[in-house]
Amino acid sequence: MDSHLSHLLPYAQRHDFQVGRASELSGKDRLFYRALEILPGLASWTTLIGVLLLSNYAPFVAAYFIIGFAIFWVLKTAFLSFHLRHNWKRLRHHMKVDWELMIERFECGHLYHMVILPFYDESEEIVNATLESIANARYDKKSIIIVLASEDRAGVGAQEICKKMHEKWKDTFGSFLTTLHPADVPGEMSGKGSNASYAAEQARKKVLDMHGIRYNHTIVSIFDIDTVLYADYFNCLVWHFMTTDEPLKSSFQPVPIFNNNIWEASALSRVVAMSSTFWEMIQQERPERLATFSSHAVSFKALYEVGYWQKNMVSEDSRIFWNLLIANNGKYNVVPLSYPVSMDANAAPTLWGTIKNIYRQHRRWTYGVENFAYIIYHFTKNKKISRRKRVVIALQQAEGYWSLVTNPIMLFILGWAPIFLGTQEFHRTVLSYNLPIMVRDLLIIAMFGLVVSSVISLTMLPKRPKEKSRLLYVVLAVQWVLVPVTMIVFSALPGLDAQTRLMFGKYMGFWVTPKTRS
Amino acid sequence: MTPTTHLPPLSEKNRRRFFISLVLIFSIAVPLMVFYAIGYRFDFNGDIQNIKAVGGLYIASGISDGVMYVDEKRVDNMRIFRSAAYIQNLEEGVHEVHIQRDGLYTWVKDLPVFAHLVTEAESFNMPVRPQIRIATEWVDNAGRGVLFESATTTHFAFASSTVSYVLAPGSATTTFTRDIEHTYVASLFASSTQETEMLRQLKLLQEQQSERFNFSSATVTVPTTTATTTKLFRDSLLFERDGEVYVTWIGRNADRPYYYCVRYAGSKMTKELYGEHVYEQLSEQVASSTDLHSAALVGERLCRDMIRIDRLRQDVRWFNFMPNSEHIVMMLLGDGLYAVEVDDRSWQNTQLLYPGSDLQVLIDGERIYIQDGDYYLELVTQIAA
Repeated sequence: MDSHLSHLLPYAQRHDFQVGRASELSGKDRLFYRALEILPGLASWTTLIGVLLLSNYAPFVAAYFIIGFAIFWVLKTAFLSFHLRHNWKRLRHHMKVDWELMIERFECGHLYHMVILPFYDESEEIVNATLESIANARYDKKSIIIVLASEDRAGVGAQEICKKMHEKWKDTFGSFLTTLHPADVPGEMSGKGSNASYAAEQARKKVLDMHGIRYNHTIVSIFDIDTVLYADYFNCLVWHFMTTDEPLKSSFQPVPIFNNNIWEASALSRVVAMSSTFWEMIQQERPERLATFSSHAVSFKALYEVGYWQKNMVSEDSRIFWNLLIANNGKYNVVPLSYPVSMDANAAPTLWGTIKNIYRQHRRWTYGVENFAYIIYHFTKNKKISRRKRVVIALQQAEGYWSLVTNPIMLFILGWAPIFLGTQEFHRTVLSYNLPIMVRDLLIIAMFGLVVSSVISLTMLPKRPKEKSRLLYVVLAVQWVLVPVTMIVFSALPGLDAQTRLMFGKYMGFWVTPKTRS
Repeated sequence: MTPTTHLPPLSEKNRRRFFISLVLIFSIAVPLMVFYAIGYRFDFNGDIQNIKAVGGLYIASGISDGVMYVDEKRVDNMRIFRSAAYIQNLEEGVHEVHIQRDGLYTWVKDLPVFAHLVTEAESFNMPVRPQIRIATEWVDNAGRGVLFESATTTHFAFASSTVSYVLAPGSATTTFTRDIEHTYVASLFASSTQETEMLRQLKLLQEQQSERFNFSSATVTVPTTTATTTKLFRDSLLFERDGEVYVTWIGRNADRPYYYCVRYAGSKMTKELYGEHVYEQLSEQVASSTDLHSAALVGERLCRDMIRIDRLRQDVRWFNFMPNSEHIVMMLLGDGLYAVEVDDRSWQNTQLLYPGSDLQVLIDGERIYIQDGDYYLELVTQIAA
């Protein structure tokens, strides 16, 4: 065994443990991995084309399927709303809890928080706001290690920001480390994963080892640079860390609320941002389906045992969970905090710019489908994970990626296909006339779920700036009628785009979402 | 008070219960809704409560604010698709449909309804009082048409004008200018008259030949159509044969309009559902057998090649499709210009567009022009707002 791999868990020492794409493998493994990369796109396209063909050649069967699917959608909406509503209650409750008081009963003075803040070319103002929110947190700042991770390829501007921030905040926190991730490292993809991994390793050597801080006493919170913390984030995190069964075998997921700039963002941007928040809230009530996303926390020991975040792929935030699950033979989970962190809604100065940015951001997020090949590949290799767990997770993931792309398109567009493509014989039937009426009525019923969303979204708004009219509340309530459009344009289409790229081996690189605040 | 306990996530038990309830609802709802969609209803009103199969009617209408009656009951809960109404839950059999609005002719039709199927029809409601716009020879400085009082005050009393005119005393035209439209329409009618004259001569010749050979045993082949008496609109061909006007479909069979085809329901029922004339036409069309009943299967869809247009037992002087419609034919008969629907199931609705015994008609683009005596006028088929 190589000595430099000895700290890794046994399974993580495999050469293919951090595989990013099929081309990094050889022989049968490469073929198998490539087939798995093709599978999600193939399944989605087969479904969409299949519905069209079915509508043309077997319109009666297609019509029965569409009715069944519309009912399924109504019930799925009810199911998700049920989870969303409970998490909303939980979130509001957790925001009122005095977490400082809650952790008093624990002996947790030995714990350190390492906060890794990777950034690229974001403005000083955004970086400073994040650090300020950490400084304002109700927690002993001397237990907080800040790692501000810049990129060499971002140029001197980013390094200047590092210097300024270091000067400004170094005395506030226990430690303030700035790192500079070198450009063009062979085998790495430029992006958050490679930067964060480099920063974590630098922090290990320069802070943890230097000060003798134990890895299992260090909780790493990795935040997108636009993340603004609520006061009790660290207290809440510690409480969950101390009360969970296996804290070193768990990641901790807050709820990302994209509301930093919500009053400046367009309606389209707000709906998409809130929808993403709601999806994460729903997942918080379904921990068996929860993977880490965006800003999250994990013990340094767990990270070190798998070699940190992957440096050769896009979706490092969710991949780290799968790395940890597989390396720990299935004995790893995500603990939902039901406590928020605020982030920026995707907003550009122009509407068209916003549309393009949202599309690109969601294409990057939905490119998380690259995890599917990784999960299935390693599930066939690591037999120490229980067969039941492997089957359940594989099915959940397959259904998730398939439904993300196909469901909105089938519901809002292909639902009408038998009417346009069906045979003359079909067009003369009562079924042909009733189909659009029933689908429309069922969708209207499903829209009641949006009423729940609308109400919840209003309660999660930050304070209204004085220059913004009260009438904007009405717009904020009504904007949810855009959901059918946003589901297709910013969920299904970028998802299909991402799956198609992966299917044809046109691998994506990391795209940094521009951050705009007025 | 600040809470000091955390709120646990949804319990596994609650989530499973909710999930199972939804699975149960799904299992029950899907078959129920599929049965509903294909046309099964539970009969709560009958003496014996049971499940019955129903059909529907889909009536396209050119008027948006008309009132519809099915079997003399006003229909209020119909589903509207663009400019058409979908009436559901109709039992099998013939249903009488009225569509009416003040000032318009009422469209009435008996339509057959079959279980699980939708019967289509297209209504049309023309103004009872002709709506006209006279193309005057002269216009004033403001561009308004000029009518000379003595000649026109009573001439068009039966019609309504869609525009206002200046009534001028006498017949002096020095202060007016000649209207270019009048000149244009007059030239259209002039060329049309030449064609009509040629046609009249040809017809006369045919009649003479027909009379000449009456005493002979030889069969005379009369030309069925000529280029000038054949009108084509989209894939529908309108032609005259032996004094009758027919419409035939020359497009793809799959696109054939619904009224060409009937659902064979046995000889007696087919007559009841569609009318005897339809049944007879189908019988004539079945070349291999003299008895339609033995040639066709019950439930089979049979399509006719052509449909005869009702000429109200009068001679047809002129005919053409209504502008932008292959479903309505205009016929100039002895006592006026009529609109007749092609759909001949049960009967063809016939509505008088403009009365008169000495009229000339032509269509220019989407406009219908009539020459009534010395006047040229445009006929408008909708009541002006």
